[in-house]
Amino acid sequence: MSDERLISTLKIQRAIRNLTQADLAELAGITRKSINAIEMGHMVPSTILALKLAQSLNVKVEDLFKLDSNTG
Amino acid sequence: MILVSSVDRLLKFSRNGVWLSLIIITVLGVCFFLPIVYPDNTNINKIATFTLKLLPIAIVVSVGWLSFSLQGVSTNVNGAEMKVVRSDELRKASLNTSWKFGFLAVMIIQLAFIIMSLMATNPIDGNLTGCATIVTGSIVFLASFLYLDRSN
Repeated sequence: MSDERLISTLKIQRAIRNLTQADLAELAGITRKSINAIEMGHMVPSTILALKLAQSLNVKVEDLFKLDSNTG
Repeated sequence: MILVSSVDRLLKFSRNGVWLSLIIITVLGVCFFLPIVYPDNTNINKIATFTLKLLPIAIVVSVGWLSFSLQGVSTNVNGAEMKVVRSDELRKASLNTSWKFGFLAVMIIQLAFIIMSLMATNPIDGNLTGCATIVTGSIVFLASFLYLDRSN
């Protein structure tokens, strides 16, 4: 059975740019709560939201999110 | 320009509104069911009647407090901050899941009433079944929304 999980580097990318969750929320036009949920792994963002975040941080979506596939 | 502090305040306002609804529905449910469960206890009946009389005043005061907590932030549905709150993905996902939980609770309580009606000698009151369904469904929906839509 395959168990796929989304790994996010959002927190790292944000820290590199010295941005708070509030700053990034303002840049992407979303709520701070959503950013927190993505960083904590509680929420998988939609394609639109992932693109918005990548655009705000000036990185590729693939740099921000990747799939962690565990087979077991 | 979107102000994060305004968005946060709107989110808090929205959550406090849901909390208020949950408390009101729970109080209504308790005040309705306790006299049915304990029909001979006059104290419980008195407390339930008194609480129901106080409830409208409590609702007016709470809504006033809620409006005051906004501190001038606009609740205009076409405003930029409100659009951010309404299009929030976590909120949408939480709403979807909460609807499912609420629906499931409504189905489970029907099953419980079917089993109870098979076991009981007297028929179960239709008003009781209807109110129990509404109260349970609403409480499960609102409580699960508050849990899923939490910040941490």
